[in-house]
Amino acid sequence: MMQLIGSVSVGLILSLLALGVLISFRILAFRDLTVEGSIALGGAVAGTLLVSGWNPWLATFIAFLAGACAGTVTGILTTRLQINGLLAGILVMTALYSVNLRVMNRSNLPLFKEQTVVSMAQKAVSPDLKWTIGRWDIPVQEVLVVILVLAIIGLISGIMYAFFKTNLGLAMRATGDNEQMIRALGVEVGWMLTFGLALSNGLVALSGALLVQYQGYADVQMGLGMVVWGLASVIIGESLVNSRQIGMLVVGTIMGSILFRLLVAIALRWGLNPNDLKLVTAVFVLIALVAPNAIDVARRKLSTLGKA
Amino acid sequence: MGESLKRLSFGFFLIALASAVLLLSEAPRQKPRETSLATSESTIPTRTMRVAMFQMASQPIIDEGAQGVIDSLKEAGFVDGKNLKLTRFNAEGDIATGNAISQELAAGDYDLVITLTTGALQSFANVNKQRKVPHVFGLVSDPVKAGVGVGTEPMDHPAHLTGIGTFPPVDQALELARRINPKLSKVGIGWNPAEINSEVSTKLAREVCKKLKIELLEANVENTSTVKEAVRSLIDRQAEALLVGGDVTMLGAIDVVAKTGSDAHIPTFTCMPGNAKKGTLFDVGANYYEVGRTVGRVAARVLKGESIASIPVEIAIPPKLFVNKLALKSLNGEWAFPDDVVKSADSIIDESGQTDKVTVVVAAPPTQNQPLVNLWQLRIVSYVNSDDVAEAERGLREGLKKSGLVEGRDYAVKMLNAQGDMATLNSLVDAAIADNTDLLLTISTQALQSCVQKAQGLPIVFTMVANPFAAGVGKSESDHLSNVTGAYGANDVKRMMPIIRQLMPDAKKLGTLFVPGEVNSVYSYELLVEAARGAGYELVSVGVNAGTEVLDGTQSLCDQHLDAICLSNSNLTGAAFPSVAQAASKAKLPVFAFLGSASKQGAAVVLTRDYYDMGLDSAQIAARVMRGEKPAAIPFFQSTKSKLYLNLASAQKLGLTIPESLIKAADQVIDK
Repeated sequence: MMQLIGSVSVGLILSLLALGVLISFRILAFRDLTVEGSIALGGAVAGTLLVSGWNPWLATFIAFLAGACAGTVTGILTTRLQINGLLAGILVMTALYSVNLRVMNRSNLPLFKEQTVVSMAQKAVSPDLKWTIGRWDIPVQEVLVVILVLAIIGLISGIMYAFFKTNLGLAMRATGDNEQMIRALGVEVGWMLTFGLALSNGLVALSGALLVQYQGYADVQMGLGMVVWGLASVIIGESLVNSRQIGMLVVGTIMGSILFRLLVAIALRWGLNPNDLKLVTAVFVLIALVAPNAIDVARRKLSTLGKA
Repeated sequence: MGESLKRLSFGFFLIALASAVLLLSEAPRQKPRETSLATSESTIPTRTMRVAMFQMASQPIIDEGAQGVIDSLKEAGFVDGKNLKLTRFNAEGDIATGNAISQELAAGDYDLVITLTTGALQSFANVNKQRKVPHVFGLVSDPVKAGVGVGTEPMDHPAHLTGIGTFPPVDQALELARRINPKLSKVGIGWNPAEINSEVSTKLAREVCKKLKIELLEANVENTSTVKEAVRSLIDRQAEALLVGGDVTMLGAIDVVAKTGSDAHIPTFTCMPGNAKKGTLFDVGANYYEVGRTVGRVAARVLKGESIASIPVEIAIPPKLFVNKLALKSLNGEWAFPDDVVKSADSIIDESGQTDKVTVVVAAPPTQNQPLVNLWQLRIVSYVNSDDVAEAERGLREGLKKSGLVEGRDYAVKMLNAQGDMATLNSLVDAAIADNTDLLLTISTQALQSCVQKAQGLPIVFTMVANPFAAGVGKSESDHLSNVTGAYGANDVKRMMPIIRQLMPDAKKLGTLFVPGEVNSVYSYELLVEAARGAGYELVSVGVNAGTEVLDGTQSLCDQHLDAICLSNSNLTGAAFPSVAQAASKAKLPVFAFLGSASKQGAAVVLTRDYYDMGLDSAQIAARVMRGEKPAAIPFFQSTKSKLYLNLASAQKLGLTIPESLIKAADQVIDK
C-alpha cells in the first residue's frame, strides 16, 4: 500500500514539473532544458529557507518565484540576445548548478527535522493511525499527504486553465502555434515567450520544492534526467486524452505523470532489475506514442470490414 | 462535458488498473515477529490492552527512552498490534497541545498511560486527578519536585501513579573527577536558576562537594548568550574544572563552555551523555534507553494486574560513560584517566581525536552461528554504480556470512541500484519497503537519506558514507536516529601527510581538485585542507564540476609551481583520474591519491579507504540488529582501515625513492 501511495504522491508532485514542460514544450513549442536546473533550484531555495525557519508555504512560494526568475533569464537570453533556444536553456541550466550550490552553501541539505508542508499535513494525525481494508493497511498520514498535494495540483491546474482562457493566455498559445500570425496581430512575441518560460520554470521549481519536502532532503544533483520524466508524462498524457483542448491536456499530463510512476512501481514490484529501468521507460513512451495511431488504424479497418 | 469525461475515462481506467495490479501483487502481510523472550505468558491478559505513551517533545534522549519502554514491554510479552494497542502522543514542545493531549488521554478508554519527561507527567497528572487512569512516568529528574503528589518515601505516592525518577548523576561525575585528578579542590558550575532540573543537580553538587571537600564556585546564567561570561567569571575565580549538570541552558552552549575552559587549560565535564565529542573531558550520564526499559518493566507489572499503590517510585540511573583523551592534552594540573575508567567507558575519543569503539567487532556475541527465528529480507540500496560500490557490496555480503548467518536460512538479500537517478532511487526504496523488507542496507549518502525518509522505523544500516552527521542522520556517534546505524569513514588524510614528508622532504606546496557539487567531496576536501595546514603545507585547490573540466583543472593546478598533487576524493575525479595522471606526469609532478583504482592509473602513492572492509563492518552491525539489538543502541562505527598502494614505476619516473620500510607496509605494489 505504501508503494501505491508513494508512487501517486511522487507522480502528483512531478506532475507540476510535467505541467511546466507542457507549457514550454507543447504550448510555446520551445525545447527548454532549463528544467533540470530549475527543479533543483526550487528544492535548494525551499530547503534553505526551511532550514532557516521560514514558514513552509512561504518558502514554497518563494521557490516558485526563483524558478520563474530562472525561466525569465532563459527567455531574455533567447529573445533579446538571439541565442538559440536549446543553447539558452543549457546555459541557464549549467549556471544554475553553481547558483544552487551557492544557495544551499553545500551540495546536500537534510530536512528531517524541519517543519515542511508535508510534515504539517502529516502532523494532523498520529503516525500509527491506519485504516485497514481487507489485507491492506492504509497509513492515514500518507493519505493526507496525497490529499494535500492533490489540492495544490487542483488549485494550480485550475489557475492554469483559467489563465489560458484569458486574452493573454490565448495570445501565448497562439505564439507557439503560429508566431507570424500573432506578431501580425500586434503581440510582442519575445515578451510572450519570456513570460511563458517564467511560468513554466516557476511550476518546475514548485515541483522541486514539494519534492524536497516530501523526500526530506535537497540535493544539487536532483535535476538529473528530469526533463525526460516531464516529456514522457506529457506524451503519455496526450495519448491518453487524445485531444488538443487545453483543459484536457492539463488533466492528461497529470494523469500521465501518475500513470508513469505507477508503471515504474509495477516494473520494480515484478522484480525488474533497476538497471533496465531506463530502457523500460523508453518503451513506455514509445508505446504511448505509437498506440493511439495503431488503435485508429485498427478501428478504421474494422469499420471498413463492417461496411463491406 | 460528457465528451470530456468520456475521453478522460480511459486514463482513469488505466490508473485504476495499474493501482489494482500494484496492490494485488503486494506480498501478504507478515505476521508480527515472534519474541523469543515472551516470559510468564500465563499472567498476560488475553484481551488487547490499550496503552498511551505521551512525551512532551522529540529529543534524542526522550526517543531513546521511548524505544526502551517499547522494547521492554515486548520482552514482557506485550507486543504492539497483538495483545497491546500502543498509541503514541507527542506535543512537540507545545504546552497547549500537551494539555489537549492530556484531556484526550484522560477521556479516552486507556488501560494505562505512560508519560515521559517532567512536562508530560505534570500535564497529565493534573488532568487525571479525578479520573485516576493508571499512570506510569519516566524520564523525570525529580518526581517530588514535580508537584504531582509524590513524596520523599518510595511508597508515598497516589494510588494510581508511580514511575521512575532519573536525575543527572552529579555525584558520580564529581567522584570521577576527583579520581582523575586527586588534587582537585575547586570546581566551577554554571546554572540557570529558572530550571527546576538544574536546581536539583546544583543542590546535589553542593552536597557532594562538601563531602569530597571540594570548593564549589557558582555562577548564574540566564540564557545561552550569558554562558561565556559566566564561565569566564568561574575561571577568574580559579576554578580547576568546570561542571555542567542537568542544565539545558549550559548544555545548549556546551561547545562554548568546553572551548572557554580549554583556552584556560581547564577541563569541562558533564552529567549528560554525548558531549565528549564537543570537547568535554568526560560525561557520566544516565543511559536513557535503559531508563526507558525500567519504565517499561513497571508498566508491564501494572498491565499484568499488579496494584500501582504497591509499586514504589524508584530512582534509576544506569550510567553511561564517555571519555575524551584528546581533551586531556594541554590541561593544567595532574589529570590522568585511571585504566579501569577507560575500560568501563562506553565510548572513547583517543589522543588523535579518533573515536574508539570498544563495543563493535570485539567479542562476537555468544549467539554466533545460531539460526535466527525468522528469515530476514535484506535489501541493499545504492545510488550509483561504481567499483567502490561493488567493493562495498562484496563486503556487505561476505560480512553477513562471516557473522555466522547463512543466506537462505537466516536472510535473503537483493541489490537495488538506482544508477544515479533520484526519482528511481525513491521508487526503489518504496518497492523495497512494499516487498516486506526487514532491514535496509544502504551504500552512499543519497541512498541513506532516501531510505531514512521513507523507512518509517524500519532498521537501516549504512556503509560508504563519509560523514553521517552532515547527512542529517545523527548528531554524534551514539546520538542518532533510532532506526539508523552503520559504518562510516573518510579519507585517511592524516596518515598521508607523513608519507609525503618522508618521500619529498623539501615539498612545501600541494595541490588538489575538488567537486563543490558532491557532499562527500567537499567534506573530504575540508579534511585535506585541515591536515595539510596541520602538517605545514600550503594547499592550492581548483573546483571542477564536470568530467571535461578535470584535465583543464589539473593543468591549471600544475601551472602554480606545486611540489606534488594530493588529490582528495570525489566520484568525479575518481572517474576522470586518467586526465589528472596525464596532466601531472607531463608537469613531472607526483600524485598522491585516496582511491584504489588510481594506483594502476599512475598515482605514485595511494592510501585508500577500504570500502570492502567498511562493508564488513556494516554487515557486522546488521547482524547485531538481526540478532535482536536495537539500532538506537548501536553507535555509528568509524571504519579506520585503509590500504596503501604504491606504484614504483611512477615514482621512479619522477625520481622519487620509496624507502624499503614503506614498501613493506604496502598492501599492493606495482613494479612496472
